[in-house]
Amino acid sequence: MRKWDKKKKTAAALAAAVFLVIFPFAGLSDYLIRVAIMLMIYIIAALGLNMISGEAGQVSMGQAGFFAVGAYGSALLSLKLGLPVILCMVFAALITGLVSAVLGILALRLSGGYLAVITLALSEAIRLIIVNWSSLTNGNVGLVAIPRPKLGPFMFQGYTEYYFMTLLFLILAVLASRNIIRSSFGLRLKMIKNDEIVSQTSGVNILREKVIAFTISGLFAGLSGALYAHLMRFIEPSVGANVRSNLFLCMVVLGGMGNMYGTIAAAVLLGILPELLRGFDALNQLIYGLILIVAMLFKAKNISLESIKARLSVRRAGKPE
Amino acid sequence: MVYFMQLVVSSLALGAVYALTAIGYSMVYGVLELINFAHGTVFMVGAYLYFMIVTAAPAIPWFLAFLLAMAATGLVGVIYERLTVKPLRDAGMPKFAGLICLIGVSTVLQQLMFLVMGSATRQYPLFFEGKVFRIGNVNVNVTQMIIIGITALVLAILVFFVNRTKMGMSMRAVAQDQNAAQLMGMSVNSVIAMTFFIGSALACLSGIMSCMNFRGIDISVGSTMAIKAFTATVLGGIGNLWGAAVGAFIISFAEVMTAGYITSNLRDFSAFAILIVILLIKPDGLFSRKVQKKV
Repeated sequence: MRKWDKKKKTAAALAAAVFLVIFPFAGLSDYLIRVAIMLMIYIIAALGLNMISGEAGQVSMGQAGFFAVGAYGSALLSLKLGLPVILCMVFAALITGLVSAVLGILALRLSGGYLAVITLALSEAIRLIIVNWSSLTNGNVGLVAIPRPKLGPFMFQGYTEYYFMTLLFLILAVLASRNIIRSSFGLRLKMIKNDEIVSQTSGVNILREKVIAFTISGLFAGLSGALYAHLMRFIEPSVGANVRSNLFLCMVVLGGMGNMYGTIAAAVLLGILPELLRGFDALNQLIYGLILIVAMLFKAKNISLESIKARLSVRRAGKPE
Repeated sequence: MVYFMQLVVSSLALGAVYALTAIGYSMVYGVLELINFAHGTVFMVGAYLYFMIVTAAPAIPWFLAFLLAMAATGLVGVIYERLTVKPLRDAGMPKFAGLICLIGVSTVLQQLMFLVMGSATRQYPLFFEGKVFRIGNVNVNVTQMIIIGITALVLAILVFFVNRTKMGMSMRAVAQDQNAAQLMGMSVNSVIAMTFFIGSALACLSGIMSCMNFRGIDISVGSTMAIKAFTATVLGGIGNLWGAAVGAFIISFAEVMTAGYITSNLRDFSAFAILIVILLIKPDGLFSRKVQKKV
């Protein structure tokens, strides 16, 4: 059974890899490739949020704030200092990680609803700072003509090059995320999610682990925001709007709170839906909301089905053969 | 001094509006430990329902229009609770699931209202248009007076309801321990439905008065309100009704004073800055009960 699972997994990974590599060469329109890049960008941010909210169970509603820090950080580094874009992205991710570490030390002493609201407030504060610090960020007008990346003589003008760069970052993010979750640190996060007091008495430094998870989460959000800024070439303060935070949280929750592959699947689903619903114009948001509700209700049904099965199997086991 | 008093009056009116919405958040959180993400949208829906009633029947007495709109909004609250929150609760889903579901509800309500009313900003019907009182040297317009008066009245009724009536007591019981309340023979589901009804009706009242205060309404009035009111709730300690009201006034004073004496650009920022500072000093909000965690 185990062996077969592993075989199946390898086959799935191979198929996915082949698909992802030939995808941009299938003669598709720029629009589709752009959608694919957006999906990968969303997956990176969602994977980050999955670390703190999914694995460690600490709901953050401010992921978009860190997304905005990454976007503005990278855009400003490339516009004002003229650094190579890929370097800007890496720096922006590190800066965002640092910002989230500092804010995390402050915020993560809270939990539950309080943490949700303080992260929301922090991300709103970040957005308002971006709006009001006009001399640096150009305020509500936003930043324009953000450069595309360049590698030596190689300009990333088209979407295909950008696609592969994003894919590379995505693969790194997935591998990092998977390894972190499998490490002993990942286990400690799971322990915190299950029972804080028990993990504390077993010698886990709760605040420290949470702050590290929050930092990783911010790092991913920053990278994701930076990729977004150089893809769009134009950003405004609304990149940090809380609608986007909600979107990331929806991905993590719909993915199953602490299920990495589930989060990826949910990110693809929720990212692609608005594109599919484009034809419905005014109705697309309505349908989007309905799908969100129905998806959660289905999950509720699923769980009750499982519990029924469990009950049945208990009864069966109880019967003398 | 006159300028200061003028600002105080504005803060009181704004705080009154925040308080009514904040109490709705606090009630639902108290009973379900769930952040009601649809509450801000319900605020907007309530304000629009009043608008529709008054435009459809201009001769209607204002208090009747108020009550009709509040009852209709309360029903909206009960309906979405039954359709979305309850099935998740019955399935024993974690709180976050309810949160996401309510984000969906919020989107759906918002878009339904958008389909009906469009995105245009409309003038909101006022009564006693333009009349101004003078108390000493301070100008108080009648709308502000009415807002402060109605809020004071509603808060008084709410105090009586929660502390002195059987329904209020059952609400407190469910908030304290859902299972124990059920074992004592209370219908937890109807208490929760009632909580959503009252919360939504208060949000409607708050929405009507807020739109009167700002003299206009558009489809997005709920979103800023939602963040502010929830900030107020947390400031006072979630689940604590009077804390929510006090938090609302703290936020409104901070906002109005920042706008009045420093710069209106920092208005929204000041509310969040206060929240962050207070939560860092007192992580459970200002008026929280101490709860000992048990293993």
